[in-house]
Amino acid sequence: MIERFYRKIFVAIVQDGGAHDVRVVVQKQKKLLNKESRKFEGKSALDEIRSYLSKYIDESPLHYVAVLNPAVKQGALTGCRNHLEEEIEEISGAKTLCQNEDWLLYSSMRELESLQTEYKKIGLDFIFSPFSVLEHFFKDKVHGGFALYALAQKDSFSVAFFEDGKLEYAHHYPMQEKNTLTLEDESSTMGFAVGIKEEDDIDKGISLDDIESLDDLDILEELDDLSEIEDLDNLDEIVEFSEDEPTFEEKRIVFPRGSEIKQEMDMFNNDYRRFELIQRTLARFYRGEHCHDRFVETIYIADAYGSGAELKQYLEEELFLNVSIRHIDVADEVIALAMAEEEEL
Amino acid sequence: MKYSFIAPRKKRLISGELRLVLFFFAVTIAMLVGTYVFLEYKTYDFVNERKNVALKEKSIKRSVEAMQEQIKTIEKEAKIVEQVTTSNAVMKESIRNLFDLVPEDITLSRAELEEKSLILYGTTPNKDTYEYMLHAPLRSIFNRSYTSFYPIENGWYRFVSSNYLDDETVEEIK
Repeated sequence: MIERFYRKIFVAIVQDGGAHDVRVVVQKQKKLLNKESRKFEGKSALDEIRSYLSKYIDESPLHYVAVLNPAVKQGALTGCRNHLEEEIEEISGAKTLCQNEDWLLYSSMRELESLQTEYKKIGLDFIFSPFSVLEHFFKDKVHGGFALYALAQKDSFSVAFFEDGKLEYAHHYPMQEKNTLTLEDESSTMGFAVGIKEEDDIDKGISLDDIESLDDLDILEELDDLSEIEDLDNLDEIVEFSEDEPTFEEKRIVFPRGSEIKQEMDMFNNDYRRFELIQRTLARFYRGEHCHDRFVETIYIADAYGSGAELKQYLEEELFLNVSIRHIDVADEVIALAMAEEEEL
Repeated sequence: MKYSFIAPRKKRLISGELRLVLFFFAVTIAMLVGTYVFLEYKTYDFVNERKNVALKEKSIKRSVEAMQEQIKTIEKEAKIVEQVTTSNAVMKESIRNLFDLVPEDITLSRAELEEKSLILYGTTPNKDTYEYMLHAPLRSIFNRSYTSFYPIENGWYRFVSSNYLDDETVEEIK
């Protein structure tokens, strides 16, 4: 009853790309009073966030701070119990959350504790999985037929297969590592998936002929590290990548500033990287026990990063998928989840 | 559905200062309510007591009335007793006077003494004895006197003397 007199303040903190995107929503009796966003970067970001939030936190005791789980070791599994041996091994030492008695979210207990310690001064009320965000964002789609859904952030890439609202398979790829890692390295160090054994040859089992040619391009690995500008001089190798694409030299003529070129290349690299991860996930899914002879025809991408047209092009041309890219404001989604969670209290 | 890996912190809706203020308010309100309840109880008690007193008063009034009735009855009874005693005394006196009137030669067998009459049954050796010795005093007392004689075997006479007083005389005596 007393709650009616207080404002409800929902704070979403989304850690992505080395920055903290903070969104504050002030409500009173479900009526939006104020909405504010601010970005914090650097080592003292958390202290700055704390002093920024203090005016809101002091204003009302009904404040809820929610974060999107940045943990490396997290994921989602189909079914709440009776998991495979590998799955049980992975979720040991992890906190689990059963969703609709159908599928399971999990996150490393250690990482959750460390996150809570990191935000001790601010205080945390909710930690949401990227898969919850994905499901909430595509709630109009996930209850439909079998499709692949992806949440693309700067620091992570979460991929999930849903059919009739039930998660069939999921994989969370943290991307904090430098892009210079080779594909072989990634298979062992990046990503966190269970239930399907990794194989060195990622193309094995994919029926699409064109994919192999893309994976064989060693030059792409070299292109990943754009900090080494001298690699750009090696124009012969880049030309081999795609005949349609303008050469770096051409680009340099069009965009004489180095930062713009770097930005362009970053976008390109990220798109290609995400394409690879989708390709890898599909390969794993088709090889795994959860496939049941199903074939993915549609992919929905929640884009929090600004994935370019290249990703769509790759997916359509190389994997023959129907691609739908929707821009997502992750902070808004986290706020929405926090509100839903608060209503349950 | 639960989305969060952690439970939210408990929200304290009331701050320490506000809690203190509320505590004092609560105590004040409790005291006021207590006083109000106490006064209400006392008023109720007083009203009840007043009702009881009124009832008692009524019952005492009723008993006083009953006692006054009793007193009246007793007074009436006392008057009656006095009257009876007086009339008994009068009667006793009258009877004594009557027996004083009767000479030794005349024997009374029965006497009926009433308010306005005296009827005597007896035997007399002769009519003269009766006439002079008894009838004369009776005539002086009563307004009307009638005598009947019946001779008996031994030569005496049985007589019945009926004597009556008039109403005026009775009123005068009273």
